[in-house]
Amino acid sequence: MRGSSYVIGISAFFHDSSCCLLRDGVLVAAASEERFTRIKHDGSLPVNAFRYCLREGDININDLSCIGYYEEPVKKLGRQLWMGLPGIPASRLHDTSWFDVHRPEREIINQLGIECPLHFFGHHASHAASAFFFSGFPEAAIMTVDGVGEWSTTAYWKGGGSTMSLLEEVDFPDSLGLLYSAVTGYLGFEVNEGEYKVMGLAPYGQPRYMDKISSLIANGKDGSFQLDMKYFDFLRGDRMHSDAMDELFGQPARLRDSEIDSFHYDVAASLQKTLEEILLQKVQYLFERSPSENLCMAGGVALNCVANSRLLKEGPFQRLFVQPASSDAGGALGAAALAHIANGGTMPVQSLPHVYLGRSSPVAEIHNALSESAIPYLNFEGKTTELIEAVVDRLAAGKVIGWFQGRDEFGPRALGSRSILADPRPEHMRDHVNALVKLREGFRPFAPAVPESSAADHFDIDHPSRFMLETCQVTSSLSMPAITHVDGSARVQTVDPQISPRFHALLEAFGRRTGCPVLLNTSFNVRGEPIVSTFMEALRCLIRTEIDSLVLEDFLLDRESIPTDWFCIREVTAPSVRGVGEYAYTFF
Amino acid sequence: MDSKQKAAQLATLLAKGEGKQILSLMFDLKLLDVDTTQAIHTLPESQPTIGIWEAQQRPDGVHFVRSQKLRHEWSGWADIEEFHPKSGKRRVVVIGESVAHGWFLAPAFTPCKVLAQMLGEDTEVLDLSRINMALPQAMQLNSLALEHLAPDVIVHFSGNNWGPLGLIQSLSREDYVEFTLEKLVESRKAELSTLIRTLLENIAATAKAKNVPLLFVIPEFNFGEWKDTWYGPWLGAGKTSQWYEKRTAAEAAFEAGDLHRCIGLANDMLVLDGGALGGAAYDLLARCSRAKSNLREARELFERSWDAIFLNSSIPLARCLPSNREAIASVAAASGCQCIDLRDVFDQAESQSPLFADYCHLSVEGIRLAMSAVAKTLAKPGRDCTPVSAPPHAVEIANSFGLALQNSALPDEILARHLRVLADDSPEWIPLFLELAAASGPLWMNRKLRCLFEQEKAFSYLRNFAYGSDWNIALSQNLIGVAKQILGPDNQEATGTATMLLHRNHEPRDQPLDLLSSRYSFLSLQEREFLWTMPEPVRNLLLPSSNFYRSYKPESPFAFAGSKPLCLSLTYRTPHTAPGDTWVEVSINQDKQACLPPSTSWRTCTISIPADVLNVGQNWLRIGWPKLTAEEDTVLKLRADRMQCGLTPELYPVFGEIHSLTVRVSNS
Repeated sequence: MRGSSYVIGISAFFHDSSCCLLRDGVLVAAASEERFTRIKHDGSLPVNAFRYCLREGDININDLSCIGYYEEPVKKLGRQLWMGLPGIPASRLHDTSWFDVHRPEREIINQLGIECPLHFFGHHASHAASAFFFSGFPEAAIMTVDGVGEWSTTAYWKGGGSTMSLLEEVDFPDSLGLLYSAVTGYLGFEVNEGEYKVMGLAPYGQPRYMDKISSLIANGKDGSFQLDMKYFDFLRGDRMHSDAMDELFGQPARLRDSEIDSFHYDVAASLQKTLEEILLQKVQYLFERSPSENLCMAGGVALNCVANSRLLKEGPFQRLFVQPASSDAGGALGAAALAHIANGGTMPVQSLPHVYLGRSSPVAEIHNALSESAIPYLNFEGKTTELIEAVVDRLAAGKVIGWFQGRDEFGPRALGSRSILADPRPEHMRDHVNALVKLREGFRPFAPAVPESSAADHFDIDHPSRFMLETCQVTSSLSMPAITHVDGSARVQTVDPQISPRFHALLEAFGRRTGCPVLLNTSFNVRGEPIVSTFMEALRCLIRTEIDSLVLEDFLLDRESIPTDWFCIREVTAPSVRGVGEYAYTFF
Repeated sequence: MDSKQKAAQLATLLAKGEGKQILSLMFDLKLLDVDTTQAIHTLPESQPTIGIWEAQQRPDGVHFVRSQKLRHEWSGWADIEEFHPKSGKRRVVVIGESVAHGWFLAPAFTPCKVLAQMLGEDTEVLDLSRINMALPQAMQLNSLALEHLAPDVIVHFSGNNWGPLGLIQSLSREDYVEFTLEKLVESRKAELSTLIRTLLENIAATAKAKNVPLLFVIPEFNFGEWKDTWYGPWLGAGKTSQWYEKRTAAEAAFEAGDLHRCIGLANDMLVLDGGALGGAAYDLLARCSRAKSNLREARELFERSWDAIFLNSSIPLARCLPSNREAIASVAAASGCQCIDLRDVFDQAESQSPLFADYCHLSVEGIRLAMSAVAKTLAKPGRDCTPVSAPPHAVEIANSFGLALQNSALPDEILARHLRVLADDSPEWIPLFLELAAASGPLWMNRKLRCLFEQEKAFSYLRNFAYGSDWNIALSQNLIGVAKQILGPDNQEATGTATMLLHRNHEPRDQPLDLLSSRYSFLSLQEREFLWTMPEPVRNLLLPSSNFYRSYKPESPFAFAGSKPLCLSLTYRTPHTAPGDTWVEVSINQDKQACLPPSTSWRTCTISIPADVLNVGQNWLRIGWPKLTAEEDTVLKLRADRMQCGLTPELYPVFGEIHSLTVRVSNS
């Protein structure tokens, strides 16, 4: 252990707080605090994720070389002050903590017990580093796009070796992320949460309102763009959009949970297409400033997988790496990399092979708990093939499976570790999983998982897509309505046998049995809650939903074996607590 | 310089020195005119809800029906489906906290059900009690009940949960520099008292405006279950050491029966600490008084003992502070409301049965006595209150069983008391208790408990409690030993099974055992480490000031199972002890294993533990901390610095801190 450099990266105090650990620059562990506290998008200091990282690295706090924090508090305060004191929400008038720039440092030292040096890095620098240093590219152009950090909302970078240089940046309040969030709010979805839904809604509509969206933003021919602030209220109100936006579209904003009609589909389609066009132009501009075959991206907007696909297909770069936890959670990775460099280290050229960087549940612990419960379950310890066949039996019979294996994923996507799986072919499966399992809106599509070797047989894709961060057309001769979006696209995950052997074996076995080596793969959670992390959370999720069977490592439980009394968990479980706001972006 | 540059420059200036304070003062002086005309977009108001009951308009009027949306909160309230519109009956509304709710006796035997039975059929009692209710919630319920439920009288049965949480955070550096510890405590007490009076006056005035009489019922505390902490205030190295020496000597004198010497030493402690922040001296004096059968004096001293830890907000002890008691009584008198003090009621009782189920919740007999006093006050003149029969035996068993589980990780004597009650009632339940206490999974996963829930409705409160979370029961200090003591030598099967489970579930195997997890660091009701030992989700809600273990006592105990050679890894620091001729002592089952040097920064050491010092069943790991060396001026500065940063000042000394503590199977 001695001689190694151990560096912790932290993102916190906004939303999606997280922590990661690098050993000699190599990523060992990463986790979001929400997986421990069960508060969706939890922005508090990641005390639990920090402890987990030390445990996973098998080190103690005094082994740490330094800490990297993903933001510069003084610069952020400058932006907040520029927004103006009238912008402070009424509820925060007497609370001076928001301008306490020493809070991150103080809480990291006092609450975590840190004694080693603490380095602060810019929000977008952290995003950029999180993409470039884990891309596997020795050099690349880098673009970071999100709502806002300190001042920057979009930044263009050039990376090589262990260095990055900033080429240009766009400052607040001009922000592609806030544009998308404001229209998300206008469409009646939660800001910072509903952007995925707007992206999923877009293919149902036609981009009839491109001209209206163009009124919201003036795109420069270089790297710049400007929002027309009369349509936005985020500088002063408790809502993202202003009444002027209602007037522009000729309709009031949609109320939450009210009916969605063609107007909303069309606005979503127009917003999505506008974003794609702007990003394509910006990527072209970046290529001119920093010619390279490689593009790295991070920031919340980089999670827009439809846009990513167009950037790769129609943009000037040969290869694209999008950091899988591109939201603020991923900032911890970049901050850790920059801290490692600041501490005299160099970053090895490393590609991120997987995101199974979170905690696992010991098999013995699962076994003991199941034994005590004395419920019927199947034990497949040492019999992986039999386990796979038993799961395939159920999937082929139209059952929905909760799949819990190994360490949980870092980032918003479930990639075969904490997944809900189903046969993508039956017509009813999408509605069934949306309504009874995920307890969410019916229009939202599901993603497919496919063995890497079979991907090209079913999808228009010629390269691995391990993190579900791009879309492609479904070209399969099979009909797979549950994973095929209305425009014929799918957000595919290709599965490597070396990286996810058991998940890969399941896909292969399902393919052998049914001729379809593709499974519907969605995250193991219900609407509004973080993805499950422990086996107990998985078990509670099974009880609270209509999942048919649950695989907990080597053990398989069927729904029929759940004692009747356990269903009262549905009644006594409190709804999930939200870490971020409803209509407003949380600036303070 | 443009506006963004100016904002950046302002931020840089604010980040320096007193910048935050300057801005704060500018706010206070209203030099910064905040625009209150900002756009506020409100959502439409929903229908009125009282607690978990929401209004439903029906032909015969407004019914308040349990809300399905609030299903997860039902278990904290009375098990009542709906409140119908007022009929010809006299209507009594009871607003209260867990004591009024009935705790593990609910829903079968609750104070409100007993009161209703006593008052007879021409009166209905609406139960709006809720566990963990705070005073602002009681005030809100009072207004809602007056507006929507047309009560003839409202009974407020609470006062235990009105603690000083939050008050200490409002301290400023100036407060501290200006005041002594005693004055600091007094000023916070006055602040709390003012706050309580204001809220109570609001309750009384609102009821008066509607011509609805109020009855306040002041709860009583079970001094039999009170034991003071080891905490002494942080007085600086010399005085703190003296304080602990005297405390140790006083305890020894008490154990030896030398009450005179014990009283002398306790008075010396009071001279040192002023009785402002530590209850130990009063506790010793109280025990001496009790030993001399002077019970009235003992109770007064016990009360001073728990009042002395007023500012130790991390002790989660529900108790009606003297200032709360006084506030209720004086507001009641000033506003013409009636008031019953359960202390007086219980003092006059001739009952031979215990009146308390635990430290504050009432037993069946306690509920009967308390509600009898309430019924006599509310009953129409000339009417005798109907006697109330005992609840079914199953309800009493559920109560004893729930209390034993709830208190299983408390100090041995408290666990023993609850187990003895359970054993007297129904010894056949002890094996299940032991199985649950040594289990791997959470309560709700246990097959036998599940079967019990399915068969016996009396356990419904425990059932909701169990299914509501994944709580595991923390290991008690001496589970098997206490069980053997209660069961006697004839029932070795149950303890044998529990021992087997302890080894299966709590012995390190492939992965190290984290002794800082809530399973292995004792949940002790009267210890400040409470926050640390709470399960993680609860700990997160309570926001402790540090995410590592801090010992406020000279020693820290942990429990684990394991009989093979082990390797113990400890990362610790002693922030207020300089290196010198003192040591951090690590012992297993009272066998010293290592002496480690004090260290003001984190230090990790690994200790091999041979099999011959380990027990079959539970082992007891004790970390003894060295004497504090930080002097009084250092202590003052540390406190002031913390307050300057908006942090709670350390009023109690931290003897040692642990960042990581694990045991794993030894490789060699």
